[in-house]
Amino acid sequence: MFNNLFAQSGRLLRINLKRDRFKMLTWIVVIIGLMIGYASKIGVIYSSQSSVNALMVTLRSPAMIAVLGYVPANVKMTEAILFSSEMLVFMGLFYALASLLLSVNVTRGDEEQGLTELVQAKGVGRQATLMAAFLESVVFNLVMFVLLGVGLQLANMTGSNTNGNWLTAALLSGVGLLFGTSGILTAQVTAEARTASTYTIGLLGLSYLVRMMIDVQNPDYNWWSPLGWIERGAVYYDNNWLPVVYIILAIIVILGAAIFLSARRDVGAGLIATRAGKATSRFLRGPLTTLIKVDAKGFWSWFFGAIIMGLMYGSIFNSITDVLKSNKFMEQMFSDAMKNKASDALLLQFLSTLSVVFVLIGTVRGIVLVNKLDGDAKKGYLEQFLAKPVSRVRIFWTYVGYALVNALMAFAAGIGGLYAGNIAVMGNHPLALKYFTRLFAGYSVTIAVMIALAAVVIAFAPKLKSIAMIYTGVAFVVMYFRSIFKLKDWMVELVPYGWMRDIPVKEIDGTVLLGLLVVAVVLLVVAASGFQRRDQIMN
Amino acid sequence: MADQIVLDVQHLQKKFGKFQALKDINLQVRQGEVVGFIGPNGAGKSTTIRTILGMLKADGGVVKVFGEDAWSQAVQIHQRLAYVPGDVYLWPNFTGGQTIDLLLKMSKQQHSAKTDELIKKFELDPTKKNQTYSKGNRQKIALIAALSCDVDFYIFDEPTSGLDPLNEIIFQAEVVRLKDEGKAILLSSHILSEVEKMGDTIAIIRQGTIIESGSLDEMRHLTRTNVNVSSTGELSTLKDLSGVHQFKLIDDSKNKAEFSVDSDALQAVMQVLTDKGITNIQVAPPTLEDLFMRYYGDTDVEPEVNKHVQ
Repeated sequence: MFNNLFAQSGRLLRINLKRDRFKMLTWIVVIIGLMIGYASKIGVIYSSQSSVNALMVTLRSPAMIAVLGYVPANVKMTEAILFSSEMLVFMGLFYALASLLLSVNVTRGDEEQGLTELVQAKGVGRQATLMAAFLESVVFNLVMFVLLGVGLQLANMTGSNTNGNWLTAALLSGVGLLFGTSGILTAQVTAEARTASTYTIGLLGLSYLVRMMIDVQNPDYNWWSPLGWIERGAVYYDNNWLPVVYIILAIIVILGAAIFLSARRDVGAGLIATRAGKATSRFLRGPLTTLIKVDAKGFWSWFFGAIIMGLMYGSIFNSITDVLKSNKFMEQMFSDAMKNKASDALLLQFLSTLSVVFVLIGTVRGIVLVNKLDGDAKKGYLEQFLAKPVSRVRIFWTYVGYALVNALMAFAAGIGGLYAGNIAVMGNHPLALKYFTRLFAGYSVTIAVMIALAAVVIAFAPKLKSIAMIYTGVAFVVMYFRSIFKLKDWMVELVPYGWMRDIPVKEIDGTVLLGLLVVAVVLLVVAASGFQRRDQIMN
Repeated sequence: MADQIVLDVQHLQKKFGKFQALKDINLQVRQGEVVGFIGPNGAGKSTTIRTILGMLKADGGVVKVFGEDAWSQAVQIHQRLAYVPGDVYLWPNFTGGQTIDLLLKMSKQQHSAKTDELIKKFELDPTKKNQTYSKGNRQKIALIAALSCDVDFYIFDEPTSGLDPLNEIIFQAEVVRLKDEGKAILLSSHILSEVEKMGDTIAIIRQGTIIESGSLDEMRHLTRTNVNVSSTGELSTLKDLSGVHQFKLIDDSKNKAEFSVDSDALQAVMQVLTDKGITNIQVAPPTLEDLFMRYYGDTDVEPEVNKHVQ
């Protein structure tokens, strides 16, 4: 029975590992490289006590806590604790993302392409593909565990200890495997790879947001989020291994559920069955309407996702200004006008750091849609358009235009949510609307530049389409960590967002805005003519 | 008007990186003509068709449809053309009926009585979602959308590979109807009997080159005739005649034999046969299968190229 279910899992695993080796290697190099590189340089970057103190002020600000997690109080700050407070939660996000994308691709992605059908006809156990996907996630996270553990040992930060180094590695790999397994579970429920990864990423986003709310308001409750478990490890000061046990238990439960569900469904189908529909549609008439209908689910998920995220960030605005009320001196000596000014200043600082998150959401949304131009060509959808009296240029502008509009809509939804949250919690003195509109106006053009860049890549070298996404990731890290990593201005200006780094505190520089707009338009025109000239179906 | 050229491909070449996919393609399709475009998998049929449709840019040669350049005038050309791809992929979550209407609308055509008739004939349920259709049903959707278009040129890329025999017959009848209406049809296939039923002209492609083309009659002229004969005299001496191939005695009898004869040697062989005292003879024209075997059979058989293996 057992044999029958899991037969040849090992062989499948080997095949999958061989196929995914470059993907996995890229993730490993990026994640481990970033962590070990930083761990070994942290003593150089923060050589003096005063620079460490300055950093602690930054890290204890609500914006940083919201993104990076809380910093332990009443603990002597060492390089090791500094490292864990800065890196662990955020890296946990990367571990989880890498694992879930891999496992969804192995299960659902393969099934969609009909590979599973091919494989299961060949004396492979019914549950073998699921098991192979799980084992691949285990192997991937195990490799990361060993590399990170050894790397941290070698980096030898002051204040680090062997127990803490391996606990760090175990917590991160554990969270990676946890979300990898969750990806396998959702892949059983949904009928498409894209939906499965959307759900799991949604779950990850939710864990992250819950942790954020808790960390900003009361860190004692962060047992409630799997990403909070990483913080509960209290690495390097308490070295608590209990969260690792929690993670392992959770993995077993989720894997069990996935196996249970998988046994109850057919290959190629999800648990949620596809219903029949109407034979006609008044709406559908060309490429744009087709794109809108195909993307409808994606549209609403991104739209509401961004609003919710904005609302959640907006709803902690009052916690940020709480510091003013708790200060007795300020309470008594400052006039209301002065207090309001101080409140605005705090919020603006928070907003200027945090807005990059929403810029990222908008950009990613847009780039995913631009890359669809290549994805749909590969899937054979584009061939249907191209055989019709529809010009190549029209197809290009349809996809890119749709991407641009949607990117800005997702960005606007996030900023709108932020503003609404701000209105809801800030009572008689919310932050003024003009700062939010300034934020939107300024960063919109940078998003347009990023999308135009993605379009150029798609037009000239679709095989390299991941470049745009990688550049976006780099741009985000540069913007968010420029103060921590002490980046120079010219470095920040290597990414489009960097040109808007002073808003919303300062006004938008009109020349810069116009310059970015010209860059975006030129890139788009170049991309359109490139697309117009190349083969539409690339082998 | 009847012999007006609709498609004219001259010395078409196409490279993908270093791989020369098309070396020398020459192909014509006239009004009221069904041209069978035959070759094994991976020979370059779909690449040729995609170049004709302006999805791929030719590296050399001329591709003209309705006298206009296939790449630069694609939009104008496509208003008068219908196409069914070899692998039909349809947008998920649309129903079959919605897909047919969308394909028609994009061709600036109406959902007509003809469309309903075809949906009925092919027994398609238009309310199901695209992702739940089998390969054959997806193919039907594309076929219905194409066949109910009123255009001048139809291109079918291996259109019946997923259809059952009954649907195949319906499709063939539709193609004959189009032909009678004076439409031009290009039909690619590796199923030879299919083309034989509809085609007047065939072009054989191999490794990116058209190695033979002409009307079916002309092609037969170049080929062997199959003979099955019984006689009073012994037949084994026929084996050594020039122009006789694949000679085989049937049932170990000396008076029954099966062989094929080169068309130009037919006269001589028949004279020898008459002297043997024929009791029964069946002479069959070569099927395209024979024709095909002559080009591909003896020499290297090309490996099946699966497009979806990455």
